[in-house]
Amino acid sequence: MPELILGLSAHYHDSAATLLADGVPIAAAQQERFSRRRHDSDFPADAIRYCLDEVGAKLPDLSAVAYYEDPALKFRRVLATYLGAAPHAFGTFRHTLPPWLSWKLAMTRHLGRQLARLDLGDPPQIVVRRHHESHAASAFFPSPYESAAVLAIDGVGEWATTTMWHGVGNQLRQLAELRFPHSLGLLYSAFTYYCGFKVDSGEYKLMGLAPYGTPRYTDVIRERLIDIKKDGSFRLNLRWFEFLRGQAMTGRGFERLFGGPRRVPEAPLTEREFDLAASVQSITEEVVLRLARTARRLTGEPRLCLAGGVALNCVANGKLLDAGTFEEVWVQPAAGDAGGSLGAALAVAMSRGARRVHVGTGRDAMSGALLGPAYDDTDIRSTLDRRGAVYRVLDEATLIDQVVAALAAGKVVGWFQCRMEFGPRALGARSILADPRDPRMQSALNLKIKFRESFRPFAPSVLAEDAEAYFELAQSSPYMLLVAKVSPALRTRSDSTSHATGLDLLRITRSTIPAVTHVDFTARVQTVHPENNPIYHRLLTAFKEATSCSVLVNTSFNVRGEPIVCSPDDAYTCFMRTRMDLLALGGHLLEKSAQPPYQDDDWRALIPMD
Amino acid sequence: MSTALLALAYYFIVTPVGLLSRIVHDPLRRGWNRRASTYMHYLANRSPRTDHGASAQKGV
Repeated sequence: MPELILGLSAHYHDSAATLLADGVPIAAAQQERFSRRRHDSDFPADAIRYCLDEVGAKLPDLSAVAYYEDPALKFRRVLATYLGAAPHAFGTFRHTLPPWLSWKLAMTRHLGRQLARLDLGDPPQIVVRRHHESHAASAFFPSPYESAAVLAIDGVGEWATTTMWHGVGNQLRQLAELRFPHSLGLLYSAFTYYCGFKVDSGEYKLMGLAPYGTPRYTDVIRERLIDIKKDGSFRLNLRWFEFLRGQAMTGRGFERLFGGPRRVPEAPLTEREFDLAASVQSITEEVVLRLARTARRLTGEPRLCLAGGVALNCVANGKLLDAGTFEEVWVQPAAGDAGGSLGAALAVAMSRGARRVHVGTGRDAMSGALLGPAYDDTDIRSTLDRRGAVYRVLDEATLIDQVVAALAAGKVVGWFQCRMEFGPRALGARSILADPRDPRMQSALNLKIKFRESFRPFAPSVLAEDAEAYFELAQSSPYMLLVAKVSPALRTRSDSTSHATGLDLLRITRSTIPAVTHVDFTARVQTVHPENNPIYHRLLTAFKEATSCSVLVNTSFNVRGEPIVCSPDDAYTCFMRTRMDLLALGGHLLEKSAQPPYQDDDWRALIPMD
Repeated sequence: MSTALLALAYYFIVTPVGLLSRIVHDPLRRGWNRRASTYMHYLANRSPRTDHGASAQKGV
């Protein structure tokens, strides 16, 4: 049996498990997909069971379990924060100290007990790696590069909030770090909170909001909130933030600076929120670009690997690529804390002499991020029969033909195939698909299918070989983590011809693929490669043959507030709750109009808003 | 752990220690220095980590 190492992230947010065989990721999943609680932070029991089931292993078959952060080091930072914030932080002290003393400080022992309760045999040695080491390892070791500069940027783990590394072969050398409380991730989260979105999940919304605004607050942010140095290092002015003192990110200081109270969640968006989003996005991009230039100078490497929650800011990633500081950029698809499980396991595997066998093949080690569970036709049929669903069983060619015909006719299709994605993006395994040429599709998908805010953009999947014809993208983007401009040849109007502002910008058709063209002519592109997801590539190819368009709208298979679907049962439920027209579940095709009546009127109340 | 006990610990231990320690050294290094060229902690010649067993503990 190969050497098996299990990586875990747990007990903060986005719990996950990853299994490596001889240093190669073979299974990975977030606990939220099984528990159906978004950003679930609990011990990832279901994800662990899935990973072990994938190879028929039990806990004694593992050579190690790797945990993604160092609890002792983190507790020292927590203690320093208590001291630094006294006497104003009793609220956070009262809530956070008891769990630290009762179990978090003895995390490895706690994890050992939780593993033992799985009834899968005795757990092996539990090893901890530092939080940013886990991020850096998840960025570099699976990347296709023999050597690279590595940047990890996030909110905070133990002390580090930003780290730079040099990766060569199976070694990572740390070069520099910034420490808590000076954090780009926390700065972005503070604005996310102030604009009325949830911290640790609403950051995407703020990024999507930015193109509607004007960055008129950048001067005040630079003067009062953050002192940025030439090398990208920075300090925040904690006088204006509340996160040291309690559960809130901002308070009266922000209200004084930005002209009023925090936006109430779900209240109408105003020019202020658009401009705040544009401003903090602009500052974030500036810091990331400067850090990247420093990483280039320190390492001399022409390639960069990114991870950490800030690496999910695909707009900043796109600007970084456009700046030309690096010839190529590779972003870990599970760049947030879920990917820490992968990084911790990889760091341990490499320190024990594992080899990066994928290097030199031109491919990365992520298998297209399709590392989650798959369901065969027997599983699917059993679920559908139990649910009383009406379906047809089709061969693959017929299934693709019928899905393409439906998409071309303006229908919305649930697409459930092969192994589930690892990371926050749906990449054509658990996706909702639509025709990007329809100017009404963006609004229809947001309001009738996803039940989410009207301003949120949708992303395109494009055949990798045709990406250049549609987008100004200098490299492949298989994980939908780079934003690029829609090609000028496809634009139907220029920036200067519009006087609309705010959400009125949504009413303007900007290109021949309007459903995936954001108000600033950009798109969060996924390039689809046959080696990563063959059936999805064949679907796109067939859509191109039928319509001459190589692009589909690809959004995650879920509704607002819900994790992406994992099982056929989840998919059927989501299909029936929304106005999706068609569902392709493996080789089974379901039409909404043929399904029996579905009674689940209160389902919206069961899913908390994100 | 009771709120009263936590309040006693916070206001009679953490707060005085925190206030006194900040006179000497702010554990969070909050000050700005406009004239400084960097806030980065550069780690010269740091070797790749190989101490994976340093914080290890046998499960259970």
